[in-house]
Amino acid sequence: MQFETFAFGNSFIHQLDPRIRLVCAVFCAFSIALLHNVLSAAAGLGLGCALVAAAALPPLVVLRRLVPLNLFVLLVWVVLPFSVPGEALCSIGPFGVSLQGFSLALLITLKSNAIILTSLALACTMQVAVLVRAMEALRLPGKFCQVIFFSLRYFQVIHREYRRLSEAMTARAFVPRTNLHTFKTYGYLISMLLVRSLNRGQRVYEAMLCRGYTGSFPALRQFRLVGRDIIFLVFCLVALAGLWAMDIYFYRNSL
Amino acid sequence: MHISEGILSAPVLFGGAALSIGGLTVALRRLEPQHIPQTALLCAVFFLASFLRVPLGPGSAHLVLCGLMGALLGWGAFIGIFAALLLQGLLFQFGGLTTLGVNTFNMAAPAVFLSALLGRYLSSPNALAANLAAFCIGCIGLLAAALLTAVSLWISGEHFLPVAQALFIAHIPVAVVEGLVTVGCVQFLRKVRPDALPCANQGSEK
Repeated sequence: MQFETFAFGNSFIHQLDPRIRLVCAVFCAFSIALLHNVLSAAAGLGLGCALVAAAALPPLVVLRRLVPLNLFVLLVWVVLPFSVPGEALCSIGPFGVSLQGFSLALLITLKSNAIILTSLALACTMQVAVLVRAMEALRLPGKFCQVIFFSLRYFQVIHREYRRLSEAMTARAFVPRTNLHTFKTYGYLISMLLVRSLNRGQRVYEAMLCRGYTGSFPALRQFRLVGRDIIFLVFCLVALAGLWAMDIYFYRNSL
Repeated sequence: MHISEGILSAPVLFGGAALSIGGLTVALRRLEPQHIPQTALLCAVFFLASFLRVPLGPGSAHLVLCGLMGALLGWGAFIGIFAALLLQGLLFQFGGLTTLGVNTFNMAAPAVFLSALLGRYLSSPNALAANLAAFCIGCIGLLAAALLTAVSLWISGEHFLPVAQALFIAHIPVAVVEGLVTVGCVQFLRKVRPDALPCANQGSEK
């Protein structure tokens, strides 16, 4: 599986402190999620695009990453313009489209894409291991960070195990169909992976104890804030405050 | 199943986050250090299993397995599910990052509840009882998660009601499949590794 495609790069964003990036990603995501107005959401989308451009992410790959989200958004478009009561905008066949429904669907589209773009530019431009280190540095629970470290390390191992079992099933002429045999087989497959993982987990823990594991991984790299990081944080906060101001202004003037 | 960004309203996002933080706090307090590698490995298995597609009539469904996670991890399901959703959001942009709290609670709370209620029957000597319990944990676990998801959408706005209803109804056949797959899992575990199943005293132990 292709992981962390955006994590390696040399752009301005990539060189920022991971802690700052994580904090900004969270602020941006929640701020944009709470916008009520189409114009401020469009500005949020602009912010997202600017961050993606600053991170020099390949546009086609980014667009592909937006597909799962937009499939859900498509569902929203099929329902909301017709189901939200309000003044009529137009009609498609026998169904009337309301202005409120249309603008709500548009708002959701803009907000969702804006959040994904900002998250991609800020949170996904580092390796997950680095992100977890940033979480640790921001005082998130140590045990939780340990769980993610181990999950990352062993995901590849389990994936390989799964491929082996899957090939063994194919070699025994297993063809998935909608029947009890298939469901039971998938159950057995998952449990086999679970059993192997449990055994491995036990061995891993004992091996690590033998090597002096005390519940945390010492870090080789320490995070240090530089001027650039503070400037970026301030820039982000100002931009988000601007979005909020726009939102409140338009809400006051009920646009 | 997991709601994406930008749809839910503020009270739902923050309420869900608060509930999840509560669940995670309990789970982390009960998590003993020696169980961290195993919780993580189970989380990785579930992360992978969610990419498995099981044929369902003309199409296919992807397994969620939140019920099974609750059965095996108890309260630890909050940690495992949160970690799996976080990784899915970061690596594949499935689900969302603002909605992590809501999605985690929607999937983990039924899992923990059902496992506390029915978990002891999974290791019962009566195979039929164990299979029934497994089916309920898998099927009702997913249905409850879908219900909570639908309710989250509905609370965010009355106009989401058709989407919420469609979502819930679409998950009914998937829930049946998930129940059957969970039965398969439990049958296998009873034969091969019975101590993985929860016994009478619940906890986030293996």
